[in-house]
Amino acid sequence: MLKVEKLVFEYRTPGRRVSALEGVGFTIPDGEAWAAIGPSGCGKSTLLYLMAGLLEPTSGRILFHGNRPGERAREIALILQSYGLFPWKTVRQNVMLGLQLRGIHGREGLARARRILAELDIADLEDAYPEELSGGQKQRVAIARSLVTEPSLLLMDEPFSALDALTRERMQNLLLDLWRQRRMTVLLVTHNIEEAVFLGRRVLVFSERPGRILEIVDNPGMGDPAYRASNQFYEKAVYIRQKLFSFTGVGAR
Amino acid sequence: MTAKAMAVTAITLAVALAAWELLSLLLHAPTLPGPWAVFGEMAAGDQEGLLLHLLASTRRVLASLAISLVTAVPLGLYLGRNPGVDAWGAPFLYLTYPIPKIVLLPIVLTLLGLSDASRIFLVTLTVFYQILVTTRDAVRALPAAAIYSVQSLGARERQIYRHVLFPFALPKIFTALRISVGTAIAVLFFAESFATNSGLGYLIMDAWGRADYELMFAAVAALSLLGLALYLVIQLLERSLCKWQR
Repeated sequence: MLKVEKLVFEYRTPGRRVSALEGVGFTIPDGEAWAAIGPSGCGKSTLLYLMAGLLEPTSGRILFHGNRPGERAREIALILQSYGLFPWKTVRQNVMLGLQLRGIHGREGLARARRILAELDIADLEDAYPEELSGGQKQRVAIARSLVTEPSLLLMDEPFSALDALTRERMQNLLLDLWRQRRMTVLLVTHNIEEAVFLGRRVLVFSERPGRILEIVDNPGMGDPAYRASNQFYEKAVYIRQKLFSFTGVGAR
Repeated sequence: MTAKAMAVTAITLAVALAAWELLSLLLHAPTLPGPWAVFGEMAAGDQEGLLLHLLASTRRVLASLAISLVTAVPLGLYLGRNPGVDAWGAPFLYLTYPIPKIVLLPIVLTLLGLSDASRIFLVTLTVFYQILVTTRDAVRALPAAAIYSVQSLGARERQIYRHVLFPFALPKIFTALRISVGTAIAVLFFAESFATNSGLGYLIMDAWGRADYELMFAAVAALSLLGLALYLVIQLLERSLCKWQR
């Protein structure tokens, strides 16, 4: 269970404090995939950094399986918006890095890396450097790198935003497959409404900065690749769009 | 090197040698012997110890480069990673960086004696600053996302240096190294021209004093070749260590 309680986060810039998150709370049951959506700058990315233990909350707390994120970072994987791959490492070295940092070296590490590369259909790219890959391939490498350590919580920050529409849809289907096979807990941050509805069993709708949760939208249809083509899907997207518009007011696009 | 690049290099070299020969013929003065005379002198054997002097200079410049790298790279990475410490170090750096280190020669000779150490120290000081400033600035330009990325994979501070900061700065360190090789050779020449009896700098000044211009030019050519060789070695190292750069 992932429990977020009364979470507050303030950035300290010289001379002033900027409130990024204000009293955010929710609980994701184990094995569910949720999505968070909201306008730019609403603190969605900050939320992920807090959950990954990269930032410390100003107040409130996050507990995953009863532990604070910093204590059990091993269970948690984060995929950053710009993929976070290291240009100086080959695909294989990038994927093996997480294992290496956990003390898994040599044969076992290599075998696990190769297995996940094959599963994601990028086995033939293992010696390539990230610069040589397309956006979709980079995204697959980033996913492979985070899954190779078999995390029980996967956090994703607008993972598909830089991809073209077709690749994007393909990657969404892939992610759905991977989640259904592994049943890990997922929190996906996005600014794309359809993506949130396709991949979030519940959708957290955020306000503008400082980020607060306006509504947690139940989305029981999620989990079937065919959901995308249904009326129910369309209606859910319209509903969330209206929520976002009504709450964010005049400035909303 | 491609065939074209090799052809261009060969032509450039031929033109330079022809120009040198022509100038020497035109001046017709003993102060400027032509390339053939100089290379003849170089090939004529080692009666003046040219090779030994070349070895002495090579040893000094290699020692200086090695010491500079080993000290400046870790310090640069550390300062770049810790802006709080850097805020204290930076003023000192800005005050001492513009001092032409070569003018410290008399002080260094007095303090460290007339040994190898004082010459190595002077060259090291010159190269050290270039590499330190470059490394620090490279690390400061690293996007925060790269740190988040490696931290989210579970990296501790030491592993951040190894897997992110060092490889990120490495191509810039090579650039700094390449630029400082020229300066290092120049400083070495000067440092070797006082109070010593070994090294190409000494040989050049000594041959000049004895009006042995062919030997003097042979030593100048040897010093240039030393610079060229270092440059090539750095290039090769960069190619094999920074494969992702191409």
